[in-house]
Amino acid sequence: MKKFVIECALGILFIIFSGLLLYHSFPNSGLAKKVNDIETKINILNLGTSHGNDFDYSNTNLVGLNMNREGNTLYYDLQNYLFLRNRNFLTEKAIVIIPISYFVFGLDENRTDRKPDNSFVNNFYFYLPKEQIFSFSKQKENGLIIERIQSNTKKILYNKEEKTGTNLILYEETVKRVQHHKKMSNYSSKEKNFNYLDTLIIEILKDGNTPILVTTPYHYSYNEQFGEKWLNLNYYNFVRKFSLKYDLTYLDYGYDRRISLEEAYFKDSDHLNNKGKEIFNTIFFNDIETLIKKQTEKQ
Amino acid sequence: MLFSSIDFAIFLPIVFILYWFFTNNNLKRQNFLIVAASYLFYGWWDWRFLSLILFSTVIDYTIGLELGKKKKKRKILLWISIAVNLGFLGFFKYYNFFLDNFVTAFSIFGTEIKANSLNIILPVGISFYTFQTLSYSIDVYKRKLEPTNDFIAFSAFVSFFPQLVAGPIERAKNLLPQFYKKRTFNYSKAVDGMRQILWGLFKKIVIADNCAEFANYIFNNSEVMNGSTLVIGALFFTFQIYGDFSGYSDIAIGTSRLFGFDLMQNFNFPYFSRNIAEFWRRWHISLSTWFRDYLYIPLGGSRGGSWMKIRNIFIIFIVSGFWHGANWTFIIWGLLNAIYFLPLLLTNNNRNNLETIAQGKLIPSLKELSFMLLTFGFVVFSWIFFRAENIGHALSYISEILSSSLFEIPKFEGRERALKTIILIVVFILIEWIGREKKYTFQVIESKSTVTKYFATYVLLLTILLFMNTGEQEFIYFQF
Repeated sequence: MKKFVIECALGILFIIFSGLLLYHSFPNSGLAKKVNDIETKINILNLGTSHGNDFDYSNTNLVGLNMNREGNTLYYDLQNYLFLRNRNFLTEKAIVIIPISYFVFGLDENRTDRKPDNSFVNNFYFYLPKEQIFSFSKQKENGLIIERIQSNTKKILYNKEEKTGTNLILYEETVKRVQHHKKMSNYSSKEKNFNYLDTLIIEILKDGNTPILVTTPYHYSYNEQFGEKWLNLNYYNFVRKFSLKYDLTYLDYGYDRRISLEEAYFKDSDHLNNKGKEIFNTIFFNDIETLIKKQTEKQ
Repeated sequence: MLFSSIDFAIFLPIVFILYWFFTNNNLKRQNFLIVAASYLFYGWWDWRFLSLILFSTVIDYTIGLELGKKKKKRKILLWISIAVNLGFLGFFKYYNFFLDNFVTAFSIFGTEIKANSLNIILPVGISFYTFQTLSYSIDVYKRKLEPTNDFIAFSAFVSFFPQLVAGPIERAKNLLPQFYKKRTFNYSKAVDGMRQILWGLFKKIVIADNCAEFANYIFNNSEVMNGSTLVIGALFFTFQIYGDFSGYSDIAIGTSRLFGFDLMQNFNFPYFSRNIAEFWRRWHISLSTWFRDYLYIPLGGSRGGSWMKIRNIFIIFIVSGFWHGANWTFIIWGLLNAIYFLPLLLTNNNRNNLETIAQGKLIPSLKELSFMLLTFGFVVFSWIFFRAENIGHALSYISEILSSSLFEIPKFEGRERALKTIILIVVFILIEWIGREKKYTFQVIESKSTVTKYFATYVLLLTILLFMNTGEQEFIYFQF
């Protein structure tokens, strides 16, 4: 009996040890890494989806953090903000950029429209407290530990970074992308997303920070496929209401001719390439600078 | 509580320690602990249905005692047991099916009947434990078994947690006497049990759950898939159901061995069968033999004329299909297997191939290989009905396979990951082939050196960890 129990215990210990070794063989990546790497307080925070630019703050005197991620939902924009604020990572009077994609009002909290089910939320388990994760489950958390062990093993074996799970086929033609995004915009209740955005804005204002609503640049073909009528009815109508309701700055680059007409700035119909990002970076920070000046003058 | 869950990983060692360290090897205490643990295990899903198990236990225990005492009116007692057990099964599993079909049948003849379906939750494992208790009443009635007057032992027999929800469906003759005998810890039996548990886990979480991801995706989107993709979907389901159910049986048998019990073998490498009769001697053995002993033989079996044989074969396969679920797809699945089986029976070839394929050899002969592949093809085809949502779904699935799109390149989301799963399946088949003369594959390491045993066990554990599918997957047979 003793021998059997010892053998079983040793087997379990060995496997736990191997698992731990593999689990810790690579550091966190993605948003978890960004959060982990924060050293100084942030005075400009960028939320939103992959449409939100990966802003380069090095040419400004701002300390910025891009917390935007592909396919993000307003629910997790709110959770990311609350997390950073609660950890005291934001300076006083910080600027919070809220880029709003055309489809974002129709998304489900955990992006259950994606396959495998609930994969979208995985990343958040690595840094958000469990009460902030929508429909947190211990089983899911355990599953993610295993997935990380598996992923790290692949990295060791193949000596390469694994592609993170995405169902967006980035280079598909505009028509298909717009069809997909229209579907996303109607997947879930708009009301609950309005509530999340409401709460997010209220929390930012309550903390004395400045929320800025942003529509990032899209290629004209993307806008054309959506159609002006659809966009006014399902998007601009809502964003403007929020802007008016809270008297917020709303920067709309959706149709900005300096970018929208230049195919050379896009890697696909709704994502900028590096050149495009560089151009947009300059335009955006000029506008932000003007805004800060205006605010200072007001005070 | 799922065998592949963290809950069970905590539950099992606790029960094991209590069983061997805190009962002083006292039989009554051990049996009582088994009952308590089994009720906890079952109540983890839905404690309300514990009353069903308790009721069934009390009824069959009482009837068993009465059958032992009385010389007259014994048949009435047996029919009460059958009515109660099948009544539960009929109500929970088949009520809505019969109701819907009656309504449809009447509407065909122009009579509209208004009947409301009930929102009935199917208690997990009801088809398994009702058949197990029925076997007790029938065996006592036939005086093949002495009725028990030990209520705790009988309760433990009915609710024994390793095989409560998905078998093997044990015959009272085999399992009940084990609850009367003193059980002491046996090292080699426990080690063997542990190995079988590990192999079962591998089959479930590595093979079945990885196959399930693609089988579900392809079957759920079959209307937009081409023929070649649908064939792949059927193959994924073929290995999913085998890994899932035989994996469960391995874990159940292995767990029982940890507590000193021997359960019957439920799977014996069925996909290496050379004809359909051999397949049915190797697939879900506990159910096939249950139907053989309690239905086929009482009906006359293979005695009598050809028509009698044909009738009996159709009855047994259709009932077997219907046992799986209240859906016409299962009935067609059963019917199809009867059709496969019939030529073998009528030509007296159903008792061929009693020994393992290519016994003592590394590779099969060309003839054996061709028969094995042909049988496998028949089985895969019948699984399409088993997995489909309804008959229409199955027929459209098959018609697409039979179209010219069969020769197109398979197209579906996640093909790259599917390829990895296919490689896993190929490796799995090769390992199963090597271990096909054992009771379960991983038993092959038994005769190896200690270092090899430890190393192989570690590799298996690591393989489970590295290839497990983390998505939540229930065992398929829980729904039956």
